[in-house]
Order: sequence, then structure tokens, then C-alpha cells
Amino acid sequence: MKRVVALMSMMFAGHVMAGSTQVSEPQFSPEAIATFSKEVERYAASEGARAFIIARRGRPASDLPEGIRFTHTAIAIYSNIELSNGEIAKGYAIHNLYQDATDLDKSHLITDYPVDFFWGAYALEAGIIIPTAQMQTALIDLYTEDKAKLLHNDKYSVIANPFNTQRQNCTEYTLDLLNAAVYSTTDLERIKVNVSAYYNPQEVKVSRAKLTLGSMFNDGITLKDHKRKVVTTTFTTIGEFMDTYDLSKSIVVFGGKNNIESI
Amino acid sequence: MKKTLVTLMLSALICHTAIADDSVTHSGKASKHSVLASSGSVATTASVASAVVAVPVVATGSVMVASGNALAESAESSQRRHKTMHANEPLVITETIITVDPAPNQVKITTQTTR
Repeated sequence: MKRVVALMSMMFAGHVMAGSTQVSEPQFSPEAIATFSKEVERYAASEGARAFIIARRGRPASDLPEGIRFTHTAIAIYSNIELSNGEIAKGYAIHNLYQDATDLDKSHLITDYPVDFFWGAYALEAGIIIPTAQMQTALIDLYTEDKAKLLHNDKYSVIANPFNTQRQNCTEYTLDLLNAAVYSTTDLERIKVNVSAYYNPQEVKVSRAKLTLGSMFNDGITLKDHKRKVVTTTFTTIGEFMDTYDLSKSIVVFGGKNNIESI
Repeated sequence: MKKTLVTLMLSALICHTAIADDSVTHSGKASKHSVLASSGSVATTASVASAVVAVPVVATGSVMVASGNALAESAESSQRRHKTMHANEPLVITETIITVDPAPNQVKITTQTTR
């Protein structure tokens, strides 16, 4: 009986939607991951992006519900990176909200780097939104002024509802950061009012029965923060939001230096 | 009741592929640095280094720009002074492969291991 429950827990956790976790097994060779990660950095740098939204796919595409292309979203910021040998290198640091690997209904803010970010990716493909220069500055300010952490809610749900503050996942955190940058506030109540007014979320096209069953076996999934219709934040809908309100300079799916698709 | 629950679970199981979630798969955290450093093509083109801390690069010579949309206007009204950097200028990126994982000689070895 316990084995069945464990198996079901794993199945629903993976099938319903993927979480955003820090540690996972590589799906590609280390060389391929390192090369791709560096290509992503070089692309963003060539565009002059000091801050951008970055997304990866942490599950096979066939496992993802309709409308979901990426499973984890974060903010990449051009940084001076102090290395363990004392040298300073310039590159992108990625500021993530990661689901806790054991307490699935909890999350942490963790900084990593492109090769870490893509280590467990199921596709060498990155979603990249480069904000306008103004937005980039405002986003960077949230980090230099140590305000980004004020927007973090450690109560995690894979399908968190972006219209309230009950639960939060990586993509909703990104959306909250963007709105904090726009309105120069860390007042989450105010941010949620504006999110409700201007942002169109992704409907989770998985039956409520499956989601309910999933929530029974996985603490990282809950419907408690949802009304009748289950909606959540995605990289794509964030892109639509930023495009609609002239907050982005470009939105692409980066599949390598010779494979860049504008969306 | 127990039989019904098991039946319900198995019914759902048959309908879907059983897969593990990201959150239940773990790799040895200290191994990434070693794997990267020892992989042939990476070793010949770039070094691997562990990061200690990252600080955002703040642009100098910032100038004020006029906002051009409704949301930005709201931002202005909230007394936020948005600066802009010299947009679109290419940035320098290190060739070093940077990871959060420490080098093996910087890991404090304990008797507890992760799978």
C-alpha cells in the first residue's frame, strides 16, 4: 500500500506540473550543458541585457499540460562574480525560487549560475525575455537594495494562483518581482491588485479531479488558493503581459546561437 | 475502503506514464564541479570555478528617461526614479564555467551522503 501511494505521489507530482527544484539529474552531457549555458550568456550579453527573465524546461514536453512550455522561471542579472580562487569574473547570476526537495510545500531563494540552472533541463532550450532598459534597472535595484526577498512567500504550490498571496511558485515570484519593479513597491497586496487588473494567467488544463487526487499525495500541489477555475503563472503569459504593456525589448526561445525563435 | 483507494490509484496510474518528479531525484551536490572539470571538451576550452558571491553590476553614467506607457507612468507617480543604463551595449562574459558547487577539495566531507 505504501509503495502504491509513493508511486502515485511521484506520478502526480510529475504529471500535473513540474516543480522548480534546484537539484536534478542531467539529461545531456556536461559538455553540451556547459556549451549551451555559455551560449545563453553570450546571447544575452550581446543584447546588452543586464537583467532578463530566463526559463527552462525541467520535464519532458510530453508530460506538460497544454499551454505550458517551460517549468522554471527566474531572473538573471549581469554580475561581478567572486570565484573561490579570489578572482572576479563577469557573467550572469540567476536568482531563483526553488521548491524544497523534501518539504514540497516550501521554497527557498537560491542564487545559481547558468550551468547549474540548465543542469537538469530536459531540453537545451531557454525562454528569454529581455526587459526594457528601464525595467532592467528597476529589477536590478530590487536586488542591490535587498528588496527582492521581501516578495518571497515560502508556502509553495506548483500551481499557485497568481491573484492572491496564499501560495507562490517560481514563476509567480518572477511576476511579483516584475510588478514590484514597475510600481516601485514591495507591498504584495498592492501588487496583487495590479496583477488581477492587468495580467492574464494560464488556465491549468488538467481536470480538477486529477489535481485533487494529486494534491492528496503531493504537498507541493494544492487547490486551496484557487476558486472554480485553476489558473497559474507561466513564462509565456509573463511574456504576453510584458509585451502588452511595453515592458519588454524582446522575447525569444533560444535553442542555440543558430536557433533563436522570436515569440 | 482500502480496496477502493488502491483501485482508484491504479486506474489513474494506468492512464498516465509513471514518472518521477524533479523534486524526488537527487544528484550528489558536490559532483557537478568534478564532472564539469573532467569532461573533455569543457576542459580544453574553459576552466571551471566555484562562485562565492555575485554582486549585480551597477551601470555608471545613468540618465533619466521619460516613461512611455501607462504602467511606467504609474511607477513615476509612485516617486520611483527609474534610471536607464546604456541599453543594447554588448557585455563581457567570462569564458570560465561558473557553478555553485564547490571543488572537491573545498567540500567538508561528512559521513552523510546524498544519493
